[in-house]
Amino acid sequence: MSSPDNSLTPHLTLGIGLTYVCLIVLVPMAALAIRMATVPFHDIVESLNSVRVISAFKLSFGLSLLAALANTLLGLPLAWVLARYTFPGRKVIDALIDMPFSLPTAVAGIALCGLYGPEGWLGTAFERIGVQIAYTPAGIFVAMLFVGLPFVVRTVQPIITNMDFSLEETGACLGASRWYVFRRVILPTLRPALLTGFSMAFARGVGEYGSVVFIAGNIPEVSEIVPLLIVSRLESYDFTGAGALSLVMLLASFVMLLLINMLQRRMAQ
Amino acid sequence: MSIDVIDVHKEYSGTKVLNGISLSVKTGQLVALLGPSGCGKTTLLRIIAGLEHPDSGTVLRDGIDLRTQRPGERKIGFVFQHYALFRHLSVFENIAFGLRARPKSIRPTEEQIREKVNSLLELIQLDWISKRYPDQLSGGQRQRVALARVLAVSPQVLLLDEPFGALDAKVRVELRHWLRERHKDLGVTTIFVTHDQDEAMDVSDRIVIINKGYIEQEGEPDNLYANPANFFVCDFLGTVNTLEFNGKKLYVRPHEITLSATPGGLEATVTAIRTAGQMVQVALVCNGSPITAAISHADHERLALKNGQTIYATPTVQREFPL
Amino acid sequence: MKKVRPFSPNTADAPWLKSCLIAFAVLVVLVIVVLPFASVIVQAFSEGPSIYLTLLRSSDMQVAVLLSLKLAAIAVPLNAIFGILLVWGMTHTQLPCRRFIMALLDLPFSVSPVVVGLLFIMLLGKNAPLGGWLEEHGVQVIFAFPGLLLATIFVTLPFVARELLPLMEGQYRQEEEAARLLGAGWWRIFLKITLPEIKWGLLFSIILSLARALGEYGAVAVVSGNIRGKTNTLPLHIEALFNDYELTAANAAATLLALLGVITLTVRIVAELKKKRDSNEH
Repeated sequence: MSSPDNSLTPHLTLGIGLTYVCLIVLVPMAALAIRMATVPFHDIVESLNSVRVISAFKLSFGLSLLAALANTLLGLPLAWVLARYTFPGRKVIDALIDMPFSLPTAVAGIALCGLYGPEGWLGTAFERIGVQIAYTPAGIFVAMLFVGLPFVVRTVQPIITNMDFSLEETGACLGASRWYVFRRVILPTLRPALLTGFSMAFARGVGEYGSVVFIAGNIPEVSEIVPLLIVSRLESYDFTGAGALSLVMLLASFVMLLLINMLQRRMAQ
Repeated sequence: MSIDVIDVHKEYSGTKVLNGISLSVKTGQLVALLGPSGCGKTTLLRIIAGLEHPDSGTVLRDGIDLRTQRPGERKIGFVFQHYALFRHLSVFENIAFGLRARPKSIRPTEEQIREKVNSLLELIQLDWISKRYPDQLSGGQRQRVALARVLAVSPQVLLLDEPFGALDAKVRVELRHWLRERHKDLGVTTIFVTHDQDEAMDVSDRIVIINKGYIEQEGEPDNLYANPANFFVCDFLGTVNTLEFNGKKLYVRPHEITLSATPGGLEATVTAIRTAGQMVQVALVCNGSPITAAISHADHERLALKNGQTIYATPTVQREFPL
Repeated sequence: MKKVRPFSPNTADAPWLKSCLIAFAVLVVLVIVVLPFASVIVQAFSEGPSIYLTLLRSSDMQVAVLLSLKLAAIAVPLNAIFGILLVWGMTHTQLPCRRFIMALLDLPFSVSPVVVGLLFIMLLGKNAPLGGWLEEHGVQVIFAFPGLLLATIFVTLPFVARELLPLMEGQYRQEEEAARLLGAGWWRIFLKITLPEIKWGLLFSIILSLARALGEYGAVAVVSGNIRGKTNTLPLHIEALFNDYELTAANAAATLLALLGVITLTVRIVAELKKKRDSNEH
């Protein structure tokens, strides 16, 4: 492709760029790996094997799963409405979907806290029916719902937009009801995108910190998620404990990344 | 089953697509809607299928007004240009789709569905790939699966939108003949849309030529070719030369011109000769405008034509159109 | 001709369903996105606009804003320059480990920000070999500006590269090859052919990374040590105020960052429109 006399330049820029990325990303990760390698394996297991850690993992993964599910259920109709219908204000709704992406997490944190807190608009409303959201796992769920909302919408929406109308029309011509066409034709077409969006929302929920800390309450074994536990171990200079938790989180990130990549490759086919 | 289209109008955001189309198709006929792209032929097909509403006018099937019936209730099958196969379903499940979609009370049993689908797979000669998915099929195979899928719900009228448009030339000709044969066997009233006049001539019993939302002419293929009603039809169905002859403007096909070395008729100069093919194509310039004549190989040898030679052309028909 | 009641074709959604779904969408966006936003603004102005302005003018607040700006001003250009170099190199060489680089670029987005902070503590903290050595030579990284900067660079690393990669692989490559056959050098090709092709994507991704750099909380929180007026970025300052129950001040600070969110969103919409218009002209 490139002629021999000037092929040096792209290799040089590649080398510089790659060195930079490795310095920023790989070196710190190697530092964690080396540090943890010096710790006896037994100690790592020990630091992970406590009620507090296990309940934090349960909470983090359980709530992320729940929030990602909810986001999938909300995201599908949202994507459908934005892709298929025209109505006044559609562009505004479309733009607002991206808000959780562009709003810094700390702002989301105190915003949700203000809204669902004991004196917030929705907080007081829920209080009246005897439900407390702020400083409970429900608060964590709300925060994860907020940060994960755009993922499903943004992965599914383009698929709906580009979906061939003749598929639905064929279904109708063959005598199928609209509902049947939705279940047997539309939904299977959207399934890979829905799964991708779901996984992305889930991954984001597991790692989320900023928007959760404010509203979570952070009570050990009740409303303490893993990132919070890492921070609290760091603050008490328990580097081994924090490192062990981070290793597990990193591993989870790798697995999710792999899964999402696989799904996206399937979607591209 | 017959189809009657009565005075159908259709407009899209101010652009008139159909301007009062009336058409009747008799039971068992195979009719081609022929016209240039954008002439409204696909819209007409979609209106018959119930995928679009006409702005005014109506469609009857055996005298029954179809306007209150939804696409699936009309007993009309529709095959899309790109087949619209469900890519997440196997060939078998694609064909079974319409049967499985029926409400429980009239849905055939699993056994009946299998029987029906298998017999259709045999009909389209694809029983050996029933478990494959659409992505694994060739264009011609997809086309046949799409046809079987429609036939599964026993439609009384079949509509095909550019059925051979997405295929390469060789497969296209094969499938044309295959379709012609199946139509003979099944006898289902069939209407198909095409922009290819060869295809329309080759396959159909009757051709309806549509242009700019109007029907220009309809009739049997041979008759249309020989007796076009106007210049558009004449031009659309084949090459046509415009000649000034004896003070009249004539429209003459290449094979309707005889060439002669002895003076008489129109004087012309030979500019190119192509001998490959059943006829010899001779390009001429006559009064400054190019014309094409098609002569037999025997005539070509007899005349011994060469580029730049002067020759005399005489039209054998006196075809005129009112302006 | 007698009037016939037209059916609603079953290839489209019934009007009642359509209305319900639209109402649902509006409600979801209102509750999940708009209400929290409105709540911040209302609380920030709860003591009147003059108090709001006074709060924004406090020295702690100004130091925090300045620190955040400084971090972004260094991190974003660095990532943009190295990102362009990387992607240019990737798209002009045949590389066997492409997928590996892609994964590397995806990592900062998928790793929890807290873990990012921890990684740098493990590398450059007092107890780490490298960190200890630096400390002996009088360089403090963690709980100081360099640590904040590294964390910021890490979390904003992928934006430019990920946005540009598909653009640089685009159809303009033929023009580029034509230019090369006409004897143009790399630098000229980049300026005259590549840059015009990627300019909107570049601008867009720079704005995105700018917003992330200014707004990053988790990773920065871990390495900052929260020294008010010294290592407090704007998001960290919001947290500090929040923990001190100075809710109005915290929300006032949050409006600044929220404004950033709105600007990002607007630029994103404009950039996408421009991009669409550009590609239509082609």
